[in-house]
Amino acid sequence: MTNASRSVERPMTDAEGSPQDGGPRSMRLRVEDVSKVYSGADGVDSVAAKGVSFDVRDGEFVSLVGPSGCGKTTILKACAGLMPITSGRIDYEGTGRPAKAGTYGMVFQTPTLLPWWTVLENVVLPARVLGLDMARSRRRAAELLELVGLTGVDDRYPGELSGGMQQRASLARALLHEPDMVFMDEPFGALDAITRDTMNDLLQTVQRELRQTVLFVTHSIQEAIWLSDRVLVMSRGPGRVIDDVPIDFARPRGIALSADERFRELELMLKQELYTSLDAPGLDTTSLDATGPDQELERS
Amino acid sequence: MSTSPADLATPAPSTPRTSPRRPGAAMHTLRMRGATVGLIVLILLIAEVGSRSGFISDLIIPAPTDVWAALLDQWQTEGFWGDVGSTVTAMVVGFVFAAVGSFLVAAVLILVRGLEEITMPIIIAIETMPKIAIAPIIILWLGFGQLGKTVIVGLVTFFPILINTLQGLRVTNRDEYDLLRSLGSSSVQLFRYVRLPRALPYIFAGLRVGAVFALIGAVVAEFVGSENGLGALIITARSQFNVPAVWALLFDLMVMGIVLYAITSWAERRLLFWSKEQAGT
Ligand SMILES: Nc1ncnc2c1ncn2[C@@H]1O[C@H](COP(=O)(O)OP(=O)(O)O)[C@@H](O)[C@H]1O
Ligand SMILES: [Mg+2]
Repeated sequence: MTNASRSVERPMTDAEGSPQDGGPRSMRLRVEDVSKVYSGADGVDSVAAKGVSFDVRDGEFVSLVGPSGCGKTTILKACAGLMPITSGRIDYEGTGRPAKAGTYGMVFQTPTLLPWWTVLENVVLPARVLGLDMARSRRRAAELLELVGLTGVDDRYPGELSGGMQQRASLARALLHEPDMVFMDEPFGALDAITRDTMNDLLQTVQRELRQTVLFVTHSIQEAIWLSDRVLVMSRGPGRVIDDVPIDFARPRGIALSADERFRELELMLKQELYTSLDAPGLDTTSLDATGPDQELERS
Repeated sequence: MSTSPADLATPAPSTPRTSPRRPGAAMHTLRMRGATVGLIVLILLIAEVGSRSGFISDLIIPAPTDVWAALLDQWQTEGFWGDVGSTVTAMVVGFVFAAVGSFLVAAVLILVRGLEEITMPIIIAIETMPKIAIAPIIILWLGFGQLGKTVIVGLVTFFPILINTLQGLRVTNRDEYDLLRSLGSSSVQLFRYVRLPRALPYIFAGLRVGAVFALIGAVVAEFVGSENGLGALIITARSQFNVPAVWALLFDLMVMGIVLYAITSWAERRLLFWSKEQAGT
């Protein structure tokens, strides 16, 4: 399905119309009333998601925020067809099914690079599995590694790289086979704050170049606002989507944006939504004004 | 191409991240090895003095110098290297067959859904059986030649390697599986790209145990009855009360064991450079 020779650079006019209507913002992924119940080995069922509904449009960067354990990973994997759902419907591009394996990219919280392969071999893994032209894919891998700011480490082994560098390589790998969509599950959650900001900035750079459709899971509200076109807020588990907030700040967005009045208002609003579902009196944000000292709340 | 300006977190790619050895570490290792050699020399010296003074009967522990003389004598005896060849061949051929065989069996058991669960109790039952005790029957069936020995070696090495391989192939890493599944990989691809490499440390642990078992298997088979081989030579030397020769043969067997162990450790280091758990020193 893909053509590995296509340049990394993809012009903005290269509209990716879906089969039905060809509009630049047509539906890519629709999640309708999805519930997931894990039946435990001890006979105790745990409900991970209850009636989750949202959609993702072509070229959109959508974040899913929610407290840990609310079912974000479950929903993401269900959309990627890696996890059967108990009820509801997931419709990817009008197929009536989740996204098809091999047509999307995936980034996990841990880099998940295979330690017995060099960085370059890891990045071309999708080509190997999908049976694409290996010589072309290696060239594309080198381009992508440059795009994510990893040069001169092609022949290194993952164990020799820092966590941030490994996650860059894993991002390059997710893009290798020119996926139609990318799923990311808290990709920067394990990184320190500085590396995390760097990675968020990098992701915006990559996004400017490639204009991917992205479903991005995070538990950081700031990160979600900074990166997204739209933020979906999930309640405490069993999760539901309780709000769907468009984020219309102009791009490119710099770190200074987090000092912007509207950014902070949005942040506080999302926090209120999230924290009212958590049973924690100290996090009662309703008594604070938008410019209040919210630094402490964030660390809790 | 553009790299973000806030690229603080990328260290210069040329800095190797492998930790440099402490300067004192090499010296320490050297001293410890020296101490090991010293201890060996001390033990040999005690044996020599004890034996020569008549304090220890040389039917039990002969003087190391006598053993050394017996060793040199054997090496020049006609047909001795043929016996060495016979034992080594049985050991190596049996070991290789067992290793390849147990790997194929493990792969089938893992790839065919449910098969492993069904067969596991049987495999464990056979594993607990002292397989070396079957040696007399095998020799009875297959005779005193090369075949009987080889089959016994294969039998005793097969199960420890199989069980380790199965254990290794059971190792699962959720994210690695999800990654491969997200690309639509077949179960054969999953096996090749993830399960097999992840199993290698376990397979090598099995091979190292198997190498020791192979040597035991070969010698016991020759004890039970064999036309040639080092085990057969031990039986002969003992019947002639030639105790130094028995000890010299044990020394030969030890050297063979060390060589086999060294080969597996070397292969392990080559293949498992990425693994933090690799054993072999
Ligand atoms: N394989 C599983 N078996 C049973 N329960 C699970 C499993 N995976 C997740 N859960 C449960 O489902 C809930 C949601 O998990 P998850 O989707 O991982 O949440 P999140 O990614 O938002 O932290 C949690 O309560 C978790 O304990
Ligand atoms: Mg999660």
